Amino acid sequence: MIKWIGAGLILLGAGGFGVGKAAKFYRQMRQLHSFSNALEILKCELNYTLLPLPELCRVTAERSERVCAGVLRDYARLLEQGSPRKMAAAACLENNALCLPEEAQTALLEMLSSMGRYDLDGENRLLSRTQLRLEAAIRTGEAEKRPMVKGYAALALCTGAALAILLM
Amino acid sequence: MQKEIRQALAVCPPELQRAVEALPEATQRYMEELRLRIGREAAVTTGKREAPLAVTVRPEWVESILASATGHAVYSAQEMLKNGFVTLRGGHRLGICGTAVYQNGTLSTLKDISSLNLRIAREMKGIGNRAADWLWTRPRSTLIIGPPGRGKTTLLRDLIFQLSQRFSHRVCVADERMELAAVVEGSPQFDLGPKTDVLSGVKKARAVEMLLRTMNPQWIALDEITSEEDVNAMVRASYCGVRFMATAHAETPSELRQRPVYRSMVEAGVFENLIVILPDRTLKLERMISLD
Repeated sequence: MIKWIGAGLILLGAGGFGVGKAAKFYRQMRQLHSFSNALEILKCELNYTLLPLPELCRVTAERSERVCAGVLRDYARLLEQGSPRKMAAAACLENNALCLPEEAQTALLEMLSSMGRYDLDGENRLLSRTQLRLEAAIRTGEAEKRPMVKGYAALALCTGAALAILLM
Repeated sequence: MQKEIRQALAVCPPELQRAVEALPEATQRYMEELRLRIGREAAVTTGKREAPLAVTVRPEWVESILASATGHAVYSAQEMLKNGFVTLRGGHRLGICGTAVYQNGTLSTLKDISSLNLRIAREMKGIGNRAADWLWTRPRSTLIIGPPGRGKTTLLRDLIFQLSQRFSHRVCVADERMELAAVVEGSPQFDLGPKTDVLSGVKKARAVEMLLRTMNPQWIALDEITSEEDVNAMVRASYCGVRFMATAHAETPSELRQRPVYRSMVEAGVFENLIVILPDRTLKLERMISLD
């Protein structure tokens, strides 16, 4: 009986760890892609309509995924309530369930803290620079995927071996 | 508090709003401007009088007013900032004084803002009744003149309404600064009548051409003719049979004729009617007399 309980715990622990890691990785990648896409929309809307910042963020939020849309909507709301840019930027990133690498989060914070302060050319440069930083984070994530898969394969082998020994 | 004042004050910090709210009702009713100079007492102007408010203007107020006025986006108000003003929702105008920033020899923006002047735009239906009666007998191109702050834009707005509603004429408005109609999300904040079409944000000279080509106007209305370009566009368009209703900065007809930019306009006979707003804000209606 004790063997079965041990085997169950090993399976649960190893499986839970693997699934958790994988879920976090995919969530992170999905959010990175979502923000990167949102920046592209933001850039198009900005150049085409020159909308004021809160409206620009709302229009972009309508075409973005849930978490990203939440950040943009919160940012627009806080600006309209009179919060200074830096405070609005920090608060909107904090209030939403973000699962981003630190570098990407810093890039977004810097972008939101400075948006709306420059002419069109300056805004375009700011958005492009942030987009590059997000893309670099995506590439890093993709590069980490292979060793991660190897690690999980090793974990699966070890778990299998442990089970076999336990059940012998 | 009047709707217009509340709307204009929406960009101001609560402390400043409360100071204006505390003013006697008569002052609020005639309030034309809110003047803010960093480190000085805020003041409101009613006519020629400037009455101080019991609050001192702080630098962060100026920053926050500008942020709200520009929609937190310098890029969207850059053209206006270059000209030293931002138009707010409702057609109110925020005048700005600061230090110029030049890039490649052209003015790109203003920094270190030191003063702001919030001008309240009002709709005063009926102030142009007498002028409209006169226009009914002489429906020709009309120029409204007066110095700044005498109510040229307010009169123009009422005359546009009357041309459209009472005369049933098709009026197109070239609202470059978005003050005449103050369109927000496609709907004018001021009632300019049922037969009025508004083209917002386009430079006047270009707007005249566009309206002429596309909207088949009987009248084109524009506020503050200031450049040779505007005058040339009007001269060209006047040959196509369209009539103009416009305003210009000049206290008297002779002052108008002395200014080089208006000389060609007077010479070409674009305007046949002249409305002069006198210091007591009554109207003097006369025929435009050419230079000779």
